[in-house]
Formats: sequence, structure tokens, C-alpha cells
Amino acid sequence: MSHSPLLASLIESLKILPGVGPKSAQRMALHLLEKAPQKAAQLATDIQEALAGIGKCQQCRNLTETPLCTLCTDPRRNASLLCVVETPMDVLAIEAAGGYRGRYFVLYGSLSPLDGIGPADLGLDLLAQHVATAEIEEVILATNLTVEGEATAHYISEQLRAIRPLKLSRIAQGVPTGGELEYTDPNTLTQALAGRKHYA
Amino acid sequence: MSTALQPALVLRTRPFRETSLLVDIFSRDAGRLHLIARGAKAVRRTRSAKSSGPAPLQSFQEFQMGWRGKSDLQTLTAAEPGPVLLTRPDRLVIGMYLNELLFYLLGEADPHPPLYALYTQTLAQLDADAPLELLLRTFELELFAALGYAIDLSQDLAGNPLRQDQCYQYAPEAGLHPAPANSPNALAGAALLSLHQHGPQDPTALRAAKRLCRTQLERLLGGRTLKSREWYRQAAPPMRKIST
Repeated sequence: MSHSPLLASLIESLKILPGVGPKSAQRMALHLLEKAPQKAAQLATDIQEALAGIGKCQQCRNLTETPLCTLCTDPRRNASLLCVVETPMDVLAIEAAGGYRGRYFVLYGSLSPLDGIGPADLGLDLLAQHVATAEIEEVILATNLTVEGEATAHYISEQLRAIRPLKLSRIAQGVPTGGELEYTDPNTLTQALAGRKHYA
Repeated sequence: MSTALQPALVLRTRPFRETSLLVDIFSRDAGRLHLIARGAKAVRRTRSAKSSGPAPLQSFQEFQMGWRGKSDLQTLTAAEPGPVLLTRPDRLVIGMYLNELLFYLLGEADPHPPLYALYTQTLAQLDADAPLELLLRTFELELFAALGYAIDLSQDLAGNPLRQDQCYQYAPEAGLHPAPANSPNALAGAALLSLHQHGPQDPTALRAAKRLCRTQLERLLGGRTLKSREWYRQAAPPMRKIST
């Protein structure tokens, strides 16, 4: 049976969500229409309002409803520490882990020539401007430990070094908590040994 | 039936559906291939402390790979990680430049074992402190030869051997032709002869090779600009000193 045009269009739209295939999209669409029409209307409004109201923070590019996000305006956060990450999800992950009280900068990706992503796409002008003017003492390069993430970290470090003397650091790499050496892959193990810490 | 495992490197990966990756590889015996790695994205997420699991598919690491299928999109069936050839952060962009060249210029399923050997060797030398220009020009010239676009340095258009005291211009479709020394992009005969006989070794031969390679690349890429080169050019002064 083929769907009516409106239903087909709704199913197609729902399929853009992660984890949603044709079958789940169909179930969701029918649920919204049959069982929860009022909540569906609310969902539609919420999506529209979120799209209109949420933008990027002018300072750190994290998602926010105000020109500056709450992390950038919170006076209790350490303004001399800046952590550069690839996605807003990374900010959430670090925040959930706790322990970090500095600020962030979100790149929305990493340098990847074959995907057509270059420095201009990562807001590096804004980062450079921010580092040049703000009282930042240390920039933590917390891009992913992938080839692209490493290349991005290196590129940013070169750019920032050219602006002014600055402490630059890279997140540590090694054996995860609860990890056993026997099961750790050789590359990680090599890094873990090379980056060993003084044991006090 | 899967193919027997053979050495290959990843040129590019892209997410596909929920858990899979589309992978472009350069394999030693089958050339450039476009594969689907089912469940490979989940691998990245679920690698836990206890299980080492399959290694993530990354560029610059040699894998022993197997695949099967008949269609354009074959399925990756095995990827056993081998040595990581390039890790130096400052040279990753150069490796990405090589990947861009291979990705755009190699035909699909067109094997080039000698070029594969040169590629792995070049990556390893990039990781060591080998002179950049020499590595890049050697790779580019070999790539042209493998593609059937070798630059003929033995004679000019008319079939005459090159002369030390003559200047030449290079026309991509045709070849070298004698030109006045003040013409744009004029190349000294002496430099070309040195390049022909000894490769891009001495500084003049290296400069000539750079011009030739750039002209040839522009034609082969058909107007496409390479992102890695753009990005390298925009780099801060300490990086800009050495040019691709």
C-alpha cells in the first residue's frame, strides 16, 4: 500500500533522525497522527521555535538562545582556560564528566580535505580573534584522537602561536580507566608509555 | 567469496546510515576501491576498556583487508590493523594531500602496485624528517607515469634532444617546446636535463619539477582545487616556509 502524499512526506522527514529507518518512521508518523495529535502539534511548534531561537554563541560557537551562552557569561568559570572541541556533544560530555571549570570553543568538525572542510569552515578566525583579545592563558586542544583531529590540533596550535605566546596543551592519550594492558591496542599502549606521568 | 587479505590504506571514510562507513581505500593489488564497512561506525563507539575490538579505519595505517561482492559497492569483510606509517602532526596535512591526489586521480579498481609501494614509503619518510619537496615531486612524477601522463623530458615536441643552453615551455597536452628565456614559465634546459637524468635532486631540477608538476596537476584535476593545498597555504608563517 502506498501512503498518501502528506503521510509519505512526514515519514520521509522523520527518517532524517538518527536511528530511524523506514519502519520506525512509519510507526512514529502513525502514532503522532492517531494517538497524540495535540502533542504532535506541540512538537511541531517546538521544532520551529528551536530552529528560530537557537543559534551559535558569538564567542564560543556553542548552541545558545542568547548572543552569549551561559558558559561564556558565567563569572564562576575560569576565563583564562579555553578548551577547543569538535562538537557541542563534546562540550556536554566534558561538562557531564565534571572537573573542568574553564570555557570552550566549538569547531563543528575537523580539517578534512577530502570532505571539503578547511580552516574557514571551523570558525578559526573567530578563535584567533578571541585568543588575541581575551585574557586566555592556556588553550587545551581537545579535538578527537583521529588523523583529522590531530591535524586540526596541530594547525590551530600553529595559528595561535603566531598570535601571541600562549600555553598550549593537548588532551592526554592512554589506557582508559578500568582498562587492562593486555587488551589495549598497540598504538594506544605506545602513546600511554610515551606520555607516562611522574608518579609521586 | 572474499578476496584473500591484502595490504591497503584508507583514503577517506564517510558515515553511511546508522552504523556503517563508506570507505575509499588504496589497495596494493586492486587499486582504489569504494567499499562499505558495515557496523564500522559502531566500532568506534563501543570499543570498551575490556575488549580491544577491531581498530578504527584510519588513514596512514596499513591494514590487511578483505572484501567481497560484485557490484560497484563491495563489502569490507576484514581489516586487520598493521603499522601506522605517519603520525607526525605537522606532516599529516601532507599525507592528506597525497590522499587527495590518489582519490581524485586514480581510476577505480585500477591496480598500481609500484605506486602503492611508493605511497607507503613516502608516508614513512614523511614521518621521518625527509626533505619535503623531494618526496612530493618524486611522488607526483611517479603518479603521472602510473596514470600514463608521464612528462617526456628526453626530447622536445619536434623530437630533438633537449639542450643545456635552451629554454623551454611545457604544454600539458603536447610536451616541451623551445621558448625564449623571458617567456612566462620558461624552464632552463640544464635544469630539465638534470631532472631527466638524476630526478628532482639538485635545487634547479627541483624548481623545474615543481613548475612541471603544477602545470600537469592543473590539467589532470580539471580545475578542481585541492583543499589540503589551500589549507597549507593559509597556514601560519612557520608552516608556510616549506611549500607544496
